[in-house]
Amino acid sequence: MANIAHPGTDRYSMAELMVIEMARNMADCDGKVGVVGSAATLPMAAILLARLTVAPNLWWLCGDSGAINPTFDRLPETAAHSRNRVGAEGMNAMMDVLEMGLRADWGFGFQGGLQMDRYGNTNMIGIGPYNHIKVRGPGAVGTPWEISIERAYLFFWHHNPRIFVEKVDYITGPGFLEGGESRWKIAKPQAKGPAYVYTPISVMDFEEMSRRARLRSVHPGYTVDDVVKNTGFELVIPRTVPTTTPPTDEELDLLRTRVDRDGVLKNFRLTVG
Amino acid sequence: MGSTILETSKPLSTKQSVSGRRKKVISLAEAGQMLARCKTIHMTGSQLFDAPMALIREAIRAGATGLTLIPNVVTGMAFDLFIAAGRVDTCYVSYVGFEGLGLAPAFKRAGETKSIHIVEGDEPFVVLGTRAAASGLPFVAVPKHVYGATDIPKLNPYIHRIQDPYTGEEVYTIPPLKADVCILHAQQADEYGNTQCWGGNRQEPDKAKAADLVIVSTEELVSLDKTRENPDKTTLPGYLVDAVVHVPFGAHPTGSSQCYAYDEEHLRLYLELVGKGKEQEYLSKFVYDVRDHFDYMARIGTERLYRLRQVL
Repeated sequence: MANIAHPGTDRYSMAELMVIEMARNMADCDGKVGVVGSAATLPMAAILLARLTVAPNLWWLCGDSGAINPTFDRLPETAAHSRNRVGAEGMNAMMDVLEMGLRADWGFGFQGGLQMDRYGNTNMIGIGPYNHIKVRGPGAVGTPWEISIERAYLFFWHHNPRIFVEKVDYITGPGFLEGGESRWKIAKPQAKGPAYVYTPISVMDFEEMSRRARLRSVHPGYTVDDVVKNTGFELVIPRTVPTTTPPTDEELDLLRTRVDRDGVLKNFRLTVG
Repeated sequence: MGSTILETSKPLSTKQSVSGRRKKVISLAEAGQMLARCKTIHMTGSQLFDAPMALIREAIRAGATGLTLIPNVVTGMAFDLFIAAGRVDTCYVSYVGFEGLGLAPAFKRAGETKSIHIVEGDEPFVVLGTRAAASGLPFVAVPKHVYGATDIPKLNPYIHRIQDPYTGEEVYTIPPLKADVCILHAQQADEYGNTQCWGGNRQEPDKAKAADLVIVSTEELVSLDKTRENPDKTTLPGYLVDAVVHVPFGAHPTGSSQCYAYDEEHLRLYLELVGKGKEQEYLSKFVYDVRDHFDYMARIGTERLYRLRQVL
């Protein structure tokens, strides 16, 4: 397991690259309402950056702090931090979040998991059979809302075959289930499901018909082989796979002066292998 | 005919109210005795903020055991310390962990060795179950899409699939989650129980209503006049609160909203010790051998505690 906070360049960190790439793909969230939950340092940074650029009309609810559209320029370690209320436009209640999930009109959201399979199904319960669970996970929390979200963004701090598996041991976050149209036997039509998967070495999206995870780009310093080797299911690999566009000076400047003034992302631990 | 004047009700007199309005302030030790008689606890706070840690340590010292814990949507050390001390039978789960700092070590081990019973829940299960208990509803029904594609109903025997009598659609039910006691750490409370939380996720009133007994620990114990300055900030009106305990730094090592940051160094020490199976070492030093909460604060250190107030 290699720590890749610094991808062989001093110009930017891998977490900064991930956040910038996440924000670039959030133009579709403009005007929508989204929520971040636990362990949300990367999504919080991406949302703040997107609001400064491609999605000025994006609304977001900052986890357990309850803050609506907070504007902090010091990236908190947790969405539950009471500091997140500073510069917010209002406060929401837990029930407001639930209601979006129950009605299935939740615009966008970010989720992770202990495991993810080729259809973007995720697991937070644990690893191994339930009566002899090998690794007990923290629990499902809000991940079941993956079924209700119009655009779900999945993100992971680690990229290895133990996380990206052939079959998740439990489904807590329902992605495309068994692929094809199977998701919509349960999901409402507007809840389109997982859009992108961000990992420390790649970005994935999902093939239109089969809904299988497809390699979209590989981060600078890594190869398609690195991704294949560290993914436990068979990825759809297009004929040409681009390198993730490195951060521009303007993107880095915005990120470091308006979003992450303390440089939390500069040494953020991400691993591969 | 002359009639006898019968006294139907007594004339009013302020002498009747000689004892005045009942005050609800008790000591931490008294709260511990109350908690030792409870079996089911509604927990509040998040993984890193506003967990009622002083009440939890006192409950452990007072001998609370055989507990069933019902979480907020997220919880961390509040559950983990009870489990590390061997006091838990059953955990209702939504999320138990320390977020970026790591998994909850005692919970993880207990889950893997089956030394506790886990009720596999999530956000809708605990929030709506608490709502049902707070409102006296027999159960709450949620649309099929909420659980139809997850494994949670297969693992949780309390979630049932029924037919919606109005539409004929399949729906899932969540039962009311009631508790003997709700424990809560607030930033301000007065002697009559009016409580202000300067953080939280507005689950607090539901949590309080879903429990037979409500015990609040508070950073500051204030006069009624102070409450009256900002009645719109009152999270729990006093009629929902049975007892108030004045416990400065009562959320430590989690943070207290708008008062102090969480003590990352201390949380890491806990994770390291319990992770290595040395929970007795931690418990001795910070729970069992501790005389009272002021002794706990002394063990953490005044300078350290006040430094936490710099980081907001």
